Amino acid sequence: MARFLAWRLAATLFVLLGVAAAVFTLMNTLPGDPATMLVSHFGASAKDIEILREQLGLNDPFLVRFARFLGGALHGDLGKSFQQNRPVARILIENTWPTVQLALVSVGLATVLGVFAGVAAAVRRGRWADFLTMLVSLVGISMPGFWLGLMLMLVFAVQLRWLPALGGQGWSGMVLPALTLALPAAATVARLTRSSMLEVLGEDYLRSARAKGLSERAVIYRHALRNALIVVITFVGLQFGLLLGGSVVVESLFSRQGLGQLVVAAVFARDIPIVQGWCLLIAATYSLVNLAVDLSYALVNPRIRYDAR
Amino acid sequence: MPGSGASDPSPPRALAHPGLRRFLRHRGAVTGSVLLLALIGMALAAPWLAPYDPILQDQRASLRAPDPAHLLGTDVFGRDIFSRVIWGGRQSLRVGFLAVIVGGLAGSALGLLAGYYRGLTGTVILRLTDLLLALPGILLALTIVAATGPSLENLIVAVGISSMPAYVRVLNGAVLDVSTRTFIEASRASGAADLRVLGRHVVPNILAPVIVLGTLGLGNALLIAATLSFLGLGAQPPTPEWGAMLSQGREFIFGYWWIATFPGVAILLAAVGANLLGEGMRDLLDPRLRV
Repeated sequence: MARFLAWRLAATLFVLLGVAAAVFTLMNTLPGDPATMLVSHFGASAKDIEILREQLGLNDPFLVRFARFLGGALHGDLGKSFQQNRPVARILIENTWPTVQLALVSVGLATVLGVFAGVAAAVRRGRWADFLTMLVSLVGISMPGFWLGLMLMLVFAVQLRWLPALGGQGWSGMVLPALTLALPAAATVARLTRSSMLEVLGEDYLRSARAKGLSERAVIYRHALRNALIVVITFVGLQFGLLLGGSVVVESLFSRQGLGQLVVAAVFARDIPIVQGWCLLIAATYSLVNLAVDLSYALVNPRIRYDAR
Repeated sequence: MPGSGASDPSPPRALAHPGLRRFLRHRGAVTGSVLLLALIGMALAAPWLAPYDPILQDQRASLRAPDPAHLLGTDVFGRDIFSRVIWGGRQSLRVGFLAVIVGGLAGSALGLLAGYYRGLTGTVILRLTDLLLALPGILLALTIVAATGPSLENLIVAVGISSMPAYVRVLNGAVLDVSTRTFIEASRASGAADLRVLGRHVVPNILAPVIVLGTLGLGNALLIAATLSFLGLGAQPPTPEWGAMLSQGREFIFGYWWIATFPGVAILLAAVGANLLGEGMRDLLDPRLRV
């Protein structure tokens, strides 16, 4: 177990190094000079811009800048934002909590909704409840997330006036963005749960469980679902990463503070340090979540062990 | 089976090809392809179907709710939404299909190479794929488009690249599987060059997963492209495109519901069609494939 963990953590570090290199290269080959974009509307002269480039360290050779970035990153220093002139790490931390909150609520909602719908459809295979669930989930995976957000806004904020449309604070501001992220994810979870339940439902041990007199509910939820969940857990883990990405659109749509809105603004403003820091943060989260997913297999299914033998 | 036809009242004998017959019996695949073909037909016939010019502005007709003259209403510039949805299909569908082709070809080629040359080449390709997977696809596409400038062509490339990892992974696995078979060994032993082995023996055996991934990926490509366009990184005004039309819809969400509704319905229908067809193809060609 320890060896497996160490090996995986080392691999994660490698991936992060690669992400850092890739993002750094990509962002630094963008046309459009960050220094010019920063001060152009102040009517700065070419000389002022040159001084600013020097200050921001943009005139150093590519490899020098990359080495400086990496060296800093290893100490938790991600540089300073061009736009805000404050440490990137602090800006990211300030924006992390709203996004994580949103992602956690969405993942929770999506899992509960999706697993129940999937189980309900699987045990009624071929009947109208199954058909309806699959139809709704097909629509769910085929909808652009931001459009679902717009439609929810239209119904609940504009027509019914139950919830704020933009920039709401607290729980009422959370409902629409969370639903926007959760519903398409729930659709996928429902489909996965259904298909993996269908595989499990034919197994002998379920017949044994029924034969020994367990109630149908115990058979389904304690025996079948537990074995069907392994596929679902993988997906929910991956989904958490996807939702962090999905927050990019949803936060912009609902004008909600968070990492997603931060990075969209930074991409447009060529605020390279912010984009780099964001990518590293997301990639690290994604890798660690994947690791956690792999470890959780062992909890659900004790036959899986990560020992050397 | 010719013998079992006696009690089976259905398919006409003319459709003898067993693959086509199985396809036509798959309800999802048929529904999906009918939907997609209808939308493609609509986009191609835009000059004859659209009642109004999709670009010409008419301030007197600004922000009209749906009525008999403007079936789906008009936008702030007085342009007919119905006409713009029809014309917009040309851009949106073209971007989706081309992105699938770009990503599918590049990803498949890399997957083939990685599976066939398992040494350094394979390792490098697979590790680079891991990198692509560590970043959310939407941000990857966002950064690429931001780097190259917003245009439909760049959008196609960006969406294509972000869809590559699935092909690389699946094809790499498929090639590993195929290349241990005896007929490949025989072909190599008889002195065939690498390219010939790949082209003659490996490629035909892994076409099924590529077709399935491509059709399944079409829905996703349509959605990512619409999202980037919505953020202003795709079609530029006044070009009608479904995702871009929705960003105007967001501005006018208070009071003018039709602007934000109908282009989204069009995207939804296209993606439903693509997903139904894709799942049908998976059932028919490669039922074990998990993406």
